[in-house]
Amino acid sequence: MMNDTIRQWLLEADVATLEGRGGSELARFVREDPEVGALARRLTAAMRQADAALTGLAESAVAELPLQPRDAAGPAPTVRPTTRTSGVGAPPGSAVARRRPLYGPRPAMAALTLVTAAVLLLVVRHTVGPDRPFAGPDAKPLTADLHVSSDRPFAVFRTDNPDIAIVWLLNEGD
Amino acid sequence: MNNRDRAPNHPGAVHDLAGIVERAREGERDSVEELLSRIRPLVYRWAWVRTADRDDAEDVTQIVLVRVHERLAGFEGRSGFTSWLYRITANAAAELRRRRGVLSRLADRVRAMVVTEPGVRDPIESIEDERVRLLVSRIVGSLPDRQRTVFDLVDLEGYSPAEAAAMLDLNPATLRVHLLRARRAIRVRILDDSPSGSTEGTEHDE
Repeated sequence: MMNDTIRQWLLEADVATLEGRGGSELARFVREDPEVGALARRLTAAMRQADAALTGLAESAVAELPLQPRDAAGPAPTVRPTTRTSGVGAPPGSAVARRRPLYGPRPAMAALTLVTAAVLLLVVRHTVGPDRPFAGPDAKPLTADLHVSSDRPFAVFRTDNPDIAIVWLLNEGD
Repeated sequence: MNNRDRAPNHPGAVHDLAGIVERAREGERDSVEELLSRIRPLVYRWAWVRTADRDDAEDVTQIVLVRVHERLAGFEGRSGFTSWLYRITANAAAELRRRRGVLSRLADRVRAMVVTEPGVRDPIESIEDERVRLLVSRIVGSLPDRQRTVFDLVDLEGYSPAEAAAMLDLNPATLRVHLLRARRAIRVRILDDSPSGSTEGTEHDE
């Protein structure tokens, strides 16, 4: 017997019930009704396959995942955080070895840094250059105020023009 | 340390870690390395399920391994090692998400400037069975964050709802709501992908 009520039960049942374990009415249907049992087995088989696939993908992914930076010399065949060499209780605030920059590929970071640097140079030149004092819409000189925080991978140059702020992305070595 | 350091019935779970954790806490270098090697796939999987992004999962995994290394001496065993490990992973994923939020607009612009690295593809594409590939894509790519993590921990990895609630710092009733929604979303698709009349191709339990 298969009706919509049983199908709804199957959609929300615990895995144990889908496997026909326990004393619930649905578990009894799974054990005794071939059609219900077949649907329950289809659900558990699909979930088991998904679990195996996720496990397999994770294992293959970490097998290719070094813990040292990509450009570090030599292979990194074993798991070894770079912040300490033995034992436990390493000093807090240790740097985390990363395989890649967090916010985008390194070439793009370099390119963006160059662009922002060029913009900054232009602003500074127009602001403080002896020959060409900056003349904005309100004829006020534009000055930049640098904000840097040690835990952020970027620096913000705020200006006295509310429409202009310059963000400088820092490379790992900066 | 209690005996909750594994998800029973799950082949990829970290089994019998208590001894290794103890030796690693005492500073035995080989045990530290073995522990990190054993937990790495599990941490990556959790990170991947939480972030739904392969690169973010790699970053989170490495951050977590370093933090485990640093904080292992402070692990007192009041909760299971797996629960402790999961919370570190969840926190690292959340921190990454916050940092991404701060720079999201800039990051989007940077990504738009970059041509995708050739040869890099979604690992899900490597799953040969199309039905499994679709199912994993739905789990990782379509379910809301909370439903995804709850479904993975309880229905796929085999943690009890109470254990999963502790790992996620969720009220068990709330977890149950997320779990039922996730089950319904995923199972409807499973059944729809295999019409009810075609039971002859059903895969049976071992």
